[in-house]
Amino acid sequence: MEKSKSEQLVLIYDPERCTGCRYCEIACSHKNFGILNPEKSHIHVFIDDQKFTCEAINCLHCEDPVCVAACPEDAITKDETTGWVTINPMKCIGCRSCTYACPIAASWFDEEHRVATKCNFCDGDPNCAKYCSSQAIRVGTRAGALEFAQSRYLRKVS
Amino acid sequence: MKKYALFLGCMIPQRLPSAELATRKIFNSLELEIAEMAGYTCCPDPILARLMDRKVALSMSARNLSIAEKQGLDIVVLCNGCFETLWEANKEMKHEETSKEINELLAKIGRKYNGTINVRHIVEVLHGDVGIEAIKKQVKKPLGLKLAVHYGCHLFREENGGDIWRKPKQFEELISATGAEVVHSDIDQLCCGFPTSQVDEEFSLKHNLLPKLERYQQMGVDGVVVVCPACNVQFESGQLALRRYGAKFSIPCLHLVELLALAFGVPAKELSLEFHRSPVSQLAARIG
Repeated sequence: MEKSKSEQLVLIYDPERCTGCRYCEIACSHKNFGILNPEKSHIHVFIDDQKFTCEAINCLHCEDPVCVAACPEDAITKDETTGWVTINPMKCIGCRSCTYACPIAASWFDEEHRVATKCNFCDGDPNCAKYCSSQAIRVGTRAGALEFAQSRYLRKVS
Repeated sequence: MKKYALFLGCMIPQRLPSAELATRKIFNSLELEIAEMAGYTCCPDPILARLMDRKVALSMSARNLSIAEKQGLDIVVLCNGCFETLWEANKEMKHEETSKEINELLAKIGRKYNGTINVRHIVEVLHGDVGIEAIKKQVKKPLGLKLAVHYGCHLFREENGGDIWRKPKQFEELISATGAEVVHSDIDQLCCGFPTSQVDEEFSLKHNLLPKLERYQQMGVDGVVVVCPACNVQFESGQLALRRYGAKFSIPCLHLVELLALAFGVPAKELSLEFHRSPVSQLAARIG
């Protein structure tokens, strides 16, 4: 049975819990490329060098993904059941349109394989969340993610 | 007298033997008994080893757990990494299928792990089982020091949805029990950089360790306290490595158990503090 969009699983990142250890990047690169190299991760954690707060950039598996719209080869698809947006490397021609179209540049160009690549949600068990000691990255529903983002924003402006 | 199986891991015997000495001293003062874990191996590494081969990593952990279980004792660890590895393995071994799979391997060496013991961090044992008041009673030399606290990432590991600040707060209270002042900053939570030092040393030094040391220097702390030998290595060797980039620091970094031993009046020379690569001996000399 098809899940409603609000019940589809996404990553939820809480910067207040993040320690900036970047184990998520190491775990991601190992899962997807078989190497321990943060440069080859689909998630990136940035540390603000003034405030020392952390922020992660990762694919949000948008409800209406612009990367899908931008791809001239229909290499990017959104699974309507799971909600996950994935790139078929056999169809990708490496034009980088998706990397420019994405507002947060979640898809990136892999120089080694000459194709665009991005988070595939690890078949529902994302390595980045699994290896996050402080539970800064967790798996939750889209509705939960929106609620968390709204509460976080309201906390910041209140 | 409460008794625990002491798991030292790899780094303490190799790089921080003073933490083992200090643990034995303070356990003696607090009337806690230590059982040795003869034949233990690396825990192994909480992230990299599990990423490489989950079954091998879990088998090693389960074998270590079986050594303590055979003695009917909970394990106490002095390292955040060992805590996460063994705590996670203990949890995984509660699943019937996983337990069967791993115990089939262990059976080949005549071992079995039934999942009957707990994995305890030294912070939980000292704060929960001993208690702050009992610790304070043992303090012979209240430490008039200003100390920064570095929690270490794996100290935050809890059950999903659990209070990740439970152990870090206990850690702070234990430092305060010595009479030292815990000086906070906006950078306490930041990782020391040890994990990324294994794949990108320069990044870890410049983006994790350097800002922490700069902040400690600004705050004028006497030292930084950790509960993990890996963090200790990063703070100590990292300060030396940063000299390559023109940054000179000389901030003592010591383990909580060493701080407690000094406060309990254990003479510094009995702790072999000279193994440290930061001026911990000099800090101890100031305590007298």
